[in-house]
Parts: sequence; C-alpha cells; structure tokens
Amino acid sequence: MVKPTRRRREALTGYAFLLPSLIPLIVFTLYPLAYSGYLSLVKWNLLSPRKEFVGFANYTRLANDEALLRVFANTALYTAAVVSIGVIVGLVLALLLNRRLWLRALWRGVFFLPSVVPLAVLSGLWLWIYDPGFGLMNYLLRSIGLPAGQWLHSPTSALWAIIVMMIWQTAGYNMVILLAGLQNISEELYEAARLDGAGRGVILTRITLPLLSPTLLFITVVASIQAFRVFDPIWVMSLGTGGPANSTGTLVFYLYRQAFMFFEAGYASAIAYLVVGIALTFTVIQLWLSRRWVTYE
Amino acid sequence: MPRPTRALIVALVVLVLALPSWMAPAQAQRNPLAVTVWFPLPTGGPLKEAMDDLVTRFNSSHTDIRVTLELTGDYQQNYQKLQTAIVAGSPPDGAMMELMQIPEFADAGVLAPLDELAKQRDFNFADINPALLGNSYWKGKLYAIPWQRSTTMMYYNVDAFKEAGLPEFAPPQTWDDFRRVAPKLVVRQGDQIMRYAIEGDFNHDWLYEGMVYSYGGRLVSQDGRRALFGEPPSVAALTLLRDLAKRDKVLYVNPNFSGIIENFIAGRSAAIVHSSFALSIITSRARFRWSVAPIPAGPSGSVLNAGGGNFVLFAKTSPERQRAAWEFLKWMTSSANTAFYSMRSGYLPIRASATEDGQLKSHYKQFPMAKKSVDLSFNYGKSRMVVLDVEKGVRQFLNPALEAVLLGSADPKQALDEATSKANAVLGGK
Repeated sequence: MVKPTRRRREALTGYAFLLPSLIPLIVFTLYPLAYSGYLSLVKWNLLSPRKEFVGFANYTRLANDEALLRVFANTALYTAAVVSIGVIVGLVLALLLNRRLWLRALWRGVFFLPSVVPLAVLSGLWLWIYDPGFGLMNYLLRSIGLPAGQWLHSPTSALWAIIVMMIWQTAGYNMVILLAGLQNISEELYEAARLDGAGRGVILTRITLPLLSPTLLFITVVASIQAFRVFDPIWVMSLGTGGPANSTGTLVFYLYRQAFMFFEAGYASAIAYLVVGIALTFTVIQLWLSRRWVTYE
Repeated sequence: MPRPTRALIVALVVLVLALPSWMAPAQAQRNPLAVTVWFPLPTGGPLKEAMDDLVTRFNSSHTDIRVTLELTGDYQQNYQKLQTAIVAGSPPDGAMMELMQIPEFADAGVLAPLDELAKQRDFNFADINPALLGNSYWKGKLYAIPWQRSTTMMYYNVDAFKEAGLPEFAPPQTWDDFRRVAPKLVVRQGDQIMRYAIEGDFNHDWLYEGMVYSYGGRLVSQDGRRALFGEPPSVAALTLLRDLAKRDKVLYVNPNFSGIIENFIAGRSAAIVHSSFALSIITSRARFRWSVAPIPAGPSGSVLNAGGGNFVLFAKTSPERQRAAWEFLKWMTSSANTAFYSMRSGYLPIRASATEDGQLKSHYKQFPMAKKSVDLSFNYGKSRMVVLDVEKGVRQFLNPALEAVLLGSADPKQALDEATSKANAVLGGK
C-alpha cells in the first residue's frame, strides 16, 4: 500500500513542478489553438456578438481562392530561397571563419550583427538602400556602369529584394550555429584523415559535412518554419500593402489582412490551420529525409 | 514566531492599509468620474505633449470629470487594439480613429450615436469646415467629430520654379498647364533623373480619390454599394497619371509617404502632393523658398481630399460616462482648443472661427504658409467616400490596380474594370 501512494505523490510533485510552464502553454497556446479551430468553422466579423456556424465552408473557400494561390506561391518562393541560400551562405561563412584568420572574432561579430539589430531598423535602412531614385544600391550600380533597378517598386523584383535582405539578416545566425557544430567535430578525425593523405575536398565531403549534418538539419528545419510564417519584413518593406500589385503578399500576411482588415475571423482561422498543416507536413518530411542522410558521431 | 513580533506585524499592516484615507482627505470628499480616451499617438513627441497639455487643462477646469489619455501608437495599431478591446467587452469611453475605419464600428453598433448629445448640449456645427465633417455620419446618424485633420495639397519649390524660368509664385493651376511646363522642372544627369517635376503616392486611394473628384467622378457610389472606379472620370485621371509617370517621366510615384517629404526637402522633386500635415516638417527643414497651392485641377476643378482622425464615443459605456466623454469632446473641439492643437501639431483647425484666435493669428504671422494651407482646406477641401469594408471592398482591388498601371505594366481601363467587378462582388453583396 505504501508504494502506490508514494509513487502518486511523486507524480503529483512532478506535475506541480511542471505547472509554471504548463499553465502558460494551456492559456497561450493550446486554448487559442483550439479556439481558432472552432472559429474556422464559423463566419464572424470580430465585432458582432453573433457567430454563424458554417461547417467547412471556410475550408472549401480556401480551395477556390485565387488570391490565396498567389500568396502561397510567394511564400513558397520566399521560403525556398531564404532557406537554401541562407543556409549555404551561412555554411560558407562558418567554414571560412572556422579557420585561423586575422581578426577572426571581429569577422564573426560583423556577420552576426544583422541578426541582433531589430527588423524595424533594418527595414528602414533597406528601404533607403533600395530607393530607385536616390538609393545606395542604384548609386553603386550606376557608378560601376550597370543599369539601375526598380527593386521594391517593381512587381518582378520586389519579393527578391526582400529575400536578399532576409538572407543578409539570417545568414549570420546560421553561421554561428554551424560554427558551434564545426567545433564539435573532433580534431582527431581530421588528423587521422590527413595522415591517410586525404585532401581538402575529401575531408569536407567525407568528414565535415556528414558530421555537420545534424546541425544542418536543425538549421534547415528552424529556418523553414521561420521563413514559412514570414510577416514583419513583408509588412514593413511593402508599407503594409503586400505590393506592388500583390507581388509580395505571403500566407501569414494574407491571414493578417483577412482577420484584422477584412474582418473575416473565420476564414483567417482556416488559413491559420492551413499554415500549421503545411508547416507540420514539411517538418515531418524533413525529419523523415534526415534519417537517410544525417550522421550522428 | 514570538507573539510580540506577530502583533507588531499586524499593527503595521493595519497602519499601512489605513494610510491612504488619511493622506488624501480632499479626494475622498468627491470622486471625479473617470473617463478613458484612446489616442493613436506614439508615446513621445510634440503631438503627445500638446494632448497632455489639453487634458491637464480640461481636468483642472472640470473637477467632476477626470480624463485619462491612453496612447495606442499609429492608426492601424489603434484600430487593432480597439477591435481587441471590443471583443473582450471592455472598450474605452472614447477614442480617436482614422476616419475610414469608423463605418465598420458604427455599422456593428459599437459606437454611440451622438445626435442626441449634440442637440442636448448645443454643439456648434456651423463653423466646422464642411469638408472635415462629411465623414462623421453613417446611415444618417452622427458618430464622430473631426479632430486631428488634414487635406492633401501641393507644395512647390519656388527656387526650382524660378530656375526653370517659370513664374515664382504662380504654379500651374490645371493638369494641362502642369503637363506643359513639367519637362522644364525636371533635371537630368545622363539617363538619371536628379529632380522630378512632381512626386506623390498616387498608388494610394487617398490621393487618387482626390484626382477622381477633380475629374468629376467618385470612387464609390453615395450609398457605398457600387464601385465606380471603372467609370470614365477615373479612367481619365489614371491615364493622365500614367502618362505623367511613364511617358513624360515627370511624375515620381512614391509609395513611401515620409520619403516623399525627404525628397522634397532635399530638392529631388520640384513639387509634391502630400498631406497638409507635412507643412510643419517642411517649415522646419526646407532650406529654400517654397509655398503651398491647390493641386492642379482636372475638368471639375481642384480638389484637396480630407483625411485624418475623428473622435468617437463607445456605446457600451454608461450614459453618465458618455455625457462626461462628450463634455471632453466638446471642450476639445472648441475654437480655442482646436486652434491650440493646430498650432502645436500642424494639423488643421477644424473651425473657421479658430483662425481668429489670437495665438493662432500671431502664429500665422510667423508662418504665413500655415494660414494659406488652412484657407486652401476651406476653399478646395472635400470629404472622402463613406463605405463599409473599405479594405476588403476597395483597397484590396483598387490599390494594386493603380500600382500595376503606374508601373507601366497594365492598361488603365482594363485594370480598373477588372478591379471594379471584383470590388462590386464584395460591396454589392451586402
């Protein structure tokens, strides 16, 4: 009789210790998640006391929404570009700055700097860089005899302009995490390889990259989720419009507009569930793929 | 714990709890009615200081009411915070809102109609600038009183006009005239344009609506249910803008509202179309001679489109607090106080009589352009469209169409027709 009570008491103590993190999780994550699920089944303008139950109408509307297709394509392009290029740039920087270089600590700091500056400040800076008439970018291009661009003012280049800014902003963070990963690889492996006569290329592809793969996976998963729900840079760089001519709107930006500007709380919740579903699918696929190519030391 | 210590603690606690009633005997006699008003202003800066001054003066002259100002950021943040507060069931007693956002709240019944209060407490409507009052009504009822208001207008660089061999203080009055002289104002260096003749955010429905008015049309029908941007006046206005921007290359369509002011101050545009609010910034920073003028006229004359924020009261509060909030609103919009706020903030005084205010008069002596801009707003000002779902039914389709045309990638008539039919599916579907 003594044993179960004691075990129960232990369990209770355990839960009690969990409470401080469990309560915020329930109040700020699980409850809103469930409530948003309920909202996705109603038509509600946020202000009216009445919520009309519409079943899965908001979800069927997703399938027929032309504008949604557009923002989905924008989001996919943004995510693919920011994640793939951002990780590659981060990797190159990490490999370079893992060597013994002159002023190495300074370079590491310089490349990491963009990730600690608030996005609002960065955006102000880049809005000026990209100004087609008087910005730094066109000034530099003209001074070396290249044609100037319209950047944020053209539907064909606006999204790419934001992508470039965000690669610049996230590559430093990727670099720091990858540097940590690089330093976890034991020096003995490199020594042994060198003794066996392995060249730089072989060391990179046979030792460094395979042993860095868990870190690369981590970075890719985190960066994909971050990129997929991008909102702030879009909002600031398009001055709240998702333009010019709808060329920069993303899924979460669209969700925000539906909820807080078009007063479509139900439809916005359905979009939120779509975003969650896609992000979840991608994560599962990434983790599944990882079993094939991630090596743990 | 030993007895004496515990007794001491109990005694201390009792003492502390009793303290406030000893220390504030005056307040205990008569509790002023607390009224909360939300304001879309950042937590620092000259506007905030001006509002603080006004609220302090109100509270000391009205001992039975105590107004607390809560600052909510910009118009969009303010709107969202109000939405959240309404959903949570605890809106403030009053607020200032961007005028295009008001129909949504009025239609949902969350705003208090003000007709009765205005009648009971004889509010003077007579000398309010009619262009600023137009956006105060929803379905025939009064819901808002103008406060922080502006209109569009043209600013021009007098030195640049002189340099181009144009009359210094007589800018073109019509778009036809403007188009004729504009190439003289443009400064080129190789293929790069160093100075445009004119700059403005014509991608946005605020400036664009003014253009459509001056071409004799409207963006949306009077009842707010039919989009009219595919009609000939709108097509003609957009075609002109497209030609100025893409054919003549004299107009710089810049969506960056603060960037436009910077470009004017730096001499990169000979003229800009902007808010009257920009006047105070230009006054303090421009290092050349400049002036204000009506925006060049279309076939139906020059139109300066009104914008800005209005006062509203919320329906949920008690009648007693509504009266108190109305008292504040009435006091704030009095001639003397609208003059004071105008002088300190750069926004327009809402009443004609305010321009006779002694302080404002001496301010105008020092800054004659401020007086000129107020006169322009009375002579050429016009109210905006009144429409429910302006974001969903108008901006969602109209603004991207304007962008596409002004970037040269779409035909005005075709783009506007397409936007009109999409907008009508939303607006007419009510």
